[in-house]
Amino acid sequence: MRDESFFTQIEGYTEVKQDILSSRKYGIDMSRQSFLASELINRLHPKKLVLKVSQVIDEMDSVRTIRLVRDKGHLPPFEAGQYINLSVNIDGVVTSRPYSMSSAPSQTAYYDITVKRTDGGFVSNYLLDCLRVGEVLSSTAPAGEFHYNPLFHGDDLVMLAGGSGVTPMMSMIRQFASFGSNKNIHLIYICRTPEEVIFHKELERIEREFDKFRYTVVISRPKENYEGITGHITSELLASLLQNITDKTYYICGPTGMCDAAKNDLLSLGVRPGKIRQENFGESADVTTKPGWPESVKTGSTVRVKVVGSTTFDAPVGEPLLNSLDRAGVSVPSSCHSGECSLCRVKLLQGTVFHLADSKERVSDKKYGYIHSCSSYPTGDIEIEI
Amino acid sequence: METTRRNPMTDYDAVVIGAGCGGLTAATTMAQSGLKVLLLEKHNIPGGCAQSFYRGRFEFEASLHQLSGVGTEDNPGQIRKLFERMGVLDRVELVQEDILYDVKIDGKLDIELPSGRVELATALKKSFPEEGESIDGFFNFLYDFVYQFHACVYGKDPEASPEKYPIFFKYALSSTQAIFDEFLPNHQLQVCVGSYICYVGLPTETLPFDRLAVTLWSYLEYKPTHFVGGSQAMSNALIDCFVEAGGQVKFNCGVDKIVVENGCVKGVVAENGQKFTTQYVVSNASSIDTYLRMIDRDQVPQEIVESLNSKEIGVSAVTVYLGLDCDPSELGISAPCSFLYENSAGLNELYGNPQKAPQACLLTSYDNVSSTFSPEGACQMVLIDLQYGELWQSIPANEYTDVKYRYADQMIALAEKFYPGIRDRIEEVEVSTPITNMRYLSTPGGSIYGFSPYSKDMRMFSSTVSPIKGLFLAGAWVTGGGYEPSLVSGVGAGRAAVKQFQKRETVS
Ligand SMILES: Cc1cc2nc3c(=O)[nH]c(=O)nc-3n(C[C@H](O)[C@H](O)[C@H](O)COP(=O)(O)OP(=O)(O)OC[C@H]3O[C@@H](n4cnc5c(N)ncnc54)[C@H](O)[C@@H]3O)c2cc1C
Ligand code: FES
Repeated sequence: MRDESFFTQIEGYTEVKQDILSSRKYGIDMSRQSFLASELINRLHPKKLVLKVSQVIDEMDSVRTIRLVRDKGHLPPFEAGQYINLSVNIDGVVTSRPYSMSSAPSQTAYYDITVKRTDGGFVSNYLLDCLRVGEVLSSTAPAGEFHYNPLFHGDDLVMLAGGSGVTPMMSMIRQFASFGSNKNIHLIYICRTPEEVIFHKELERIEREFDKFRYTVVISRPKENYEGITGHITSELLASLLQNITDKTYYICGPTGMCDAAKNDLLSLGVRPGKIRQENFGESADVTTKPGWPESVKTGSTVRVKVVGSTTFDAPVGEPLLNSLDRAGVSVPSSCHSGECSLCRVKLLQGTVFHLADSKERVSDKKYGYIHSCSSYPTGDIEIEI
Repeated sequence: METTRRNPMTDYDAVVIGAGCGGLTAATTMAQSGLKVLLLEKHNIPGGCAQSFYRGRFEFEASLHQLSGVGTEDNPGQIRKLFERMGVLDRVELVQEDILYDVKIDGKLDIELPSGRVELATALKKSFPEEGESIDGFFNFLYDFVYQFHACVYGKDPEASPEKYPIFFKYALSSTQAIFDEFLPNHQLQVCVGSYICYVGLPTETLPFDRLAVTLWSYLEYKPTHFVGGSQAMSNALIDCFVEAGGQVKFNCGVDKIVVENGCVKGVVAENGQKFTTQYVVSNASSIDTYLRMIDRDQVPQEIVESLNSKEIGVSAVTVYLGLDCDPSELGISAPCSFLYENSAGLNELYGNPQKAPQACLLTSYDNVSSTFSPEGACQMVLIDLQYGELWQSIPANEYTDVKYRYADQMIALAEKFYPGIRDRIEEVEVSTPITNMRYLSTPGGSIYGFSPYSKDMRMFSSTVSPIKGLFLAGAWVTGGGYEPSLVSGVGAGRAAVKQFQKRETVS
């Protein structure tokens, strides 16, 4: 720094000097600014939410709604369609899965998640069988891109739901129906049997009370004398149910296979890709049957995973790396479990993995071997860095 | 490079807090000088502002519109030299632009401004034939000003005097508006040469001219530059250089505390309680957080507290990231960057307010920089204006989303005045506000440029050397915002730390 005699020669220095002195005298408390910022972020996007089960509502045989409240402070706001990533400790294994809120965002007292039993499901079945009122869980703050966007989604919305994929739609429907908004919503809901249709009574009621809401159930495995619409979602069915097909925004949520098929149907009907919003639910089918999976690597066998500076363990072939890491007690943050949010990013130092096609690694991440562990399946022994 | 840990009493020779531009270059500088360095980043990815994120099939560039100070092999700027030294240059693919930006004032002006002093002056004279003299006068002044400013402030010519550097001594503290009024009175010309006030952080009445001058000069001399793969490619390359030099990085590891005893750094404590001992810390977190949150109050000299309290938290931004299902040419967009102004708007309308419709914004069409930014037949585009975090912090939580979308909607409407049809091509859109920046950068007010750069806060009046022994700061909060200053500040902090480290090691 030069000494003051240098500066005094600059034109306007006296005024600036005065400014320096008075701003120091009348400054504002910056430590408060820093505090305000972190307080606001904690309110809107806390890193971790501690939630208590306040109620467990039986929807039907294998479906329950779990009502979650926060003991201290408000629940962060969310957009209808978003999810939380719920962490559970099952016999010492800490693992997490995303669940969409089924309650409306306007309901600020609690988050509802609605859980359906899945064959061989680890977390869902635990939530159904073992969770009791009063139990405390932790989760991430709400996240996700599957929500209504007023910038380009318009007023004509079609929702294609399969099974538990109706949960994020339910949040949107409850929000829009309760606000008496100007949105036309048509829910097309496909289930295997009529008994599996979640929220049926409420959806029927909303249809009666809200003339802009239409509700169509499609049953894929009907009993003989079932009278409603049966079969799968096809382009013919969509064409028969909908008018002005290309002007609407579509939300698809359900098992990956159903989502992909529905999307293709819509594309074949001339709908622009941007008008189709998709959220895949549920583990994808056996990954070893996917195109590109190396034939020599078989389910039932294991691979060795070495985590630099931490531990080495065996992981079953066909399981996402993230789940194996959870099982081994290696904690990696995660949120979407579908390759989009990048939170579960780790660096692959050695070995090979199979990537799910829709996993979105950044261009330069690929170059240096960063992978999304939720969508990567080791196809041999690997070494990673976290 | 072989690193030897030379201080067996501590876990690390140095710890860097934050992997933004400043933290990355600080960490790499120290590791490449042989220190054992630990870099701790709160998020799961390096870069701070300098990163990208996916929505649908688009990898969106989060912040970088144009990188200044790179230059060519024959005429390298300080950033190219820095990249070359560190090994970044071998790891990234640079793309250079011959155009600074387009300026469009609705119903009044539509002009493309090339980079290069002569080219720009020629283009301006063509559109403003009556103003030839003042255009030449302005550019002469600009170049003299920058030369003299460098000599007096950075070069520290020992013989600097009002006789030798009259422009510096007369104008160094002038506001941008004062310079415009004297040298370039035509308003439209002011908008043409002044739009980069968007990159420096204050409106023309309060912005010291040196900020705009040095920025404009750097882009004119060295051309705007970008990376294939966006700024994330740079951040990932820096991490790779750092790790290659023996550095260790931990993501998802925010720092809560810098342990200071008797005025000396002793270590850091992470959010998860983990402790790391070290005698040297470079913090890329905001200086407010560094001094007023992370260090025990009784260890922070009152002088520092007063100085921080005397400043103003700098501006943040509202950014609308658009993924469109067409080529930019289909919408008639050919320039990489366009500053768009409503008919009655001037430069200072680049500073917006959530309660008012935007009057001006910057549109960046990345696929006009390099077609690698988006999948074929699609393009990404960003609309941005500057806003103070304060205005957003006071919005009630239940209204925030509405305000955010309403404002973004108006920004799209503004852009559509110049390029109709944008909205119909939207495939993905994401909106970030000062609140979003607060969350991802952990800066007070979501500031993207550090403190507001008033004359009273010019670096020549305040020492950047910390009174706490072993503590160094890097990034926008010490040097002012932008990639170039932040990257350079990290090198400065890293070198200063290495120097002290080596001195202490030879003494002991
Ligand atoms: C939308 C946008 C557009 C921009 N456009 C341009 C442009 O075109 N050209 C240009 O030159 N500049 C531009 N900038 C500005 C430029 O990006 C920034 O000024 C610059 O990158 C700041 O760098 P920094 O070193 O201060 O670090 P930052 O980017 O602020 O990063 C700081 C890092 O520290 C981490 N951190 C903070 N606290 C902690 C803690 N306690 N523990 C651990 N880690 C911590 C943060 O997570 C972050 O990664 C833009 C910025 C934005 C947001
Ligand atoms: S958890 Fe989101 S990408 Fe893996």
